Amino acid sequence: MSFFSVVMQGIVSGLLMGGIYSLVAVGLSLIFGVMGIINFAHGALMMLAMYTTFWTVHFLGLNPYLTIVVTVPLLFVLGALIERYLIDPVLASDETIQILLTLGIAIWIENMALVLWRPDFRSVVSGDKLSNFFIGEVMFNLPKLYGFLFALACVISLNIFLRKTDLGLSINASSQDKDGARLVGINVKKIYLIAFGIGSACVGASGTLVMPFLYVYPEVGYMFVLNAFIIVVMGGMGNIMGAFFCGLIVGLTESLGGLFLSGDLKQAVVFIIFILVLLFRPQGLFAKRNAAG
Amino acid sequence: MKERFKFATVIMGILLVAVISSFGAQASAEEIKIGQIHPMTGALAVIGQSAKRGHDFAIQEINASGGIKSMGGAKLVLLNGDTQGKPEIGMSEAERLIRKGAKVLTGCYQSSVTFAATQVAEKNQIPFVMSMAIADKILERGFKYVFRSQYSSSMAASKTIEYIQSLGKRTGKEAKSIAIIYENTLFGKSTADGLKKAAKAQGLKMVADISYPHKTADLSSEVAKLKAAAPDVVIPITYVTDGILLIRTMADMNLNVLAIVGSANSGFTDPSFIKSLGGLAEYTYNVVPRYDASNPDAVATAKRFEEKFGVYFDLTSVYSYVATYVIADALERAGSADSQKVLKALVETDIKDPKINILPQKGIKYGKVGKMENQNIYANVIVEQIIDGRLQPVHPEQYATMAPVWPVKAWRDR
Repeated sequence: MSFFSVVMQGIVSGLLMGGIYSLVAVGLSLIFGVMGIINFAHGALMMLAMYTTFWTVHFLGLNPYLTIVVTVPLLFVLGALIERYLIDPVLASDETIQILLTLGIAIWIENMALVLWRPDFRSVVSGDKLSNFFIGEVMFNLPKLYGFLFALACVISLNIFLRKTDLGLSINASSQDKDGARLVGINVKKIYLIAFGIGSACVGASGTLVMPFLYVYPEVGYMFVLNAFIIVVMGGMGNIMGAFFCGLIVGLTESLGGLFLSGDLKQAVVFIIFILVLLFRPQGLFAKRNAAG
Repeated sequence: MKERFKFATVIMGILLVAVISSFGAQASAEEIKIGQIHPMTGALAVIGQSAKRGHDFAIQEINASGGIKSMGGAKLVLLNGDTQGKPEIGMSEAERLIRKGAKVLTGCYQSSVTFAATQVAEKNQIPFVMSMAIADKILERGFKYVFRSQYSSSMAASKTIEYIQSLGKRTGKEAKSIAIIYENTLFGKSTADGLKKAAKAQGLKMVADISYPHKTADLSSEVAKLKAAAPDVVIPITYVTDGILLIRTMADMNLNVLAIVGSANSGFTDPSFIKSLGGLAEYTYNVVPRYDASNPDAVATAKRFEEKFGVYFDLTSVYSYVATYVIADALERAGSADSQKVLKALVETDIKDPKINILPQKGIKYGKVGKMENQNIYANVIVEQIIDGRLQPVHPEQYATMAPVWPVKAWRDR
């Protein structure tokens, strides 16, 4: 394998993983942008979506990608319920209380998963089937490519939704100025419910999309959610397109960092870039205009 | 007044328990207490349970065949300690069991916990016969009371390199270069260090040295680096999930090598490795210990064990079983439970009996190996390969039940 191909491989794998990171981060960013809530339960929700995919495949024998029609609505409803009954009562409270609450939800969900499904890891990948293709010496893993394309489609349609539809514009308005939004007759409480639901649905979709190449266990969310926080901050808090591009950057950085430096350092490089961004461009690489970027 | 009464009751209660337990200790003059210290609860509870099964099984056998004959048929009794997987609790459990009258201790599976618990045994001058724990440094502190029948991590590493060379000679397809890829915690790194040293000493060229965090979702760039280095043999040191990810990525990227040889790779021995990889797991090598399938006594023991408990006679049970017999053997020769006499007997241990030495090694005899004291000089590992979905011993020939497949089939021809 030539040096050129190795680098190309790094770029391809990095971009494909980056697409998934983006979708996770976009949900987080939307929730923050609209409600100002830092949702620590995001990773736990992703884990729930992964288990939903696993069990649906296990019991109904569905194609893993088809389970997206189950996970996305389910996670939307779950997110909306969490918002309605847990987040809403503390919206006016101190930020610390909100953080503790979402952290508490995360810990509770994870422990329930531990009790119900034990710490074993599970996967929907069937045995020895390989699905990939090569361009030159560069391998494209099909599940990751599908995941990337799906994620791209989700982000683009979310963006169109936020810019072109009445509901999307209301979400935008609420994120810019909730009192102003109320004045022009937007039901902000309902908007929050929907925004949290959509944010959870995004992470639900990403949960389904990673299952064809990954395994699920109760703490799996942390694998993604730490990166997601970095991406959200790097992209400009609440900036969805910013989150999307920074997701790709983080994926690339990890992959190329693992290639040129030691694999130990691949996550460290991400943090170095993160710190540099915080130092020189604390508002994020893509300055925030509104929820739709 | 009420408070004081409560307090007095508690004190009385404690005294009562203390008196009863001391009676217990005196009444059992014909009993010799052995303390086993393993992770009985927590994330490694499964391991602790199978260790305890090994001890229980051996003790029942020994007692049923007349106990320790030189001590008038004294019976062995097992005291249980729970480390919860934590070094500091391992230490306090060792102290507790010694206070309860344990004459010999055994444990603890995790190197870090064993490292701490053996310190307590040494300080109290109570012999400690390790069941499992592979870090070299446990025996490199000049301790007198601590013994290991298992191989150490450096011994496993040097055997791995040796076997890669001898497998090459045996099959006529010699490996000229190796690459190691390992997860970056103490487990992966210490084995990798041993492998690097051994490869250098035994003249095998190392073309790549790659580490990665085991909770990664993607190993493509690591495998791309491996592919660019084009090694003959890849040596992975992984846990289960990252091991599966690694093999799958190697297959995805069509990286064909003579062989993939794990070095004491716990990921490859996990049943879910074969289950989730199916045909891709096939032909994976692993250099590990196991009970000696070419020893009829070992096979019979395994069968009895499996009939009794309904579970596989796994490695943890095997080592606990052997440790218990080593202790019984020393007690028999010492003719006393006095710690100095037992210590002397342990030092003189020389077990060749195939009924006790059910491991693929010449025997059990403690001595100095490198900087390690009281290490079993015969400790051995063998090579297993996954053939037809089962781990089969394939090398060296005297312990093998099947011939090795070397070089392995290309991914696309499977």
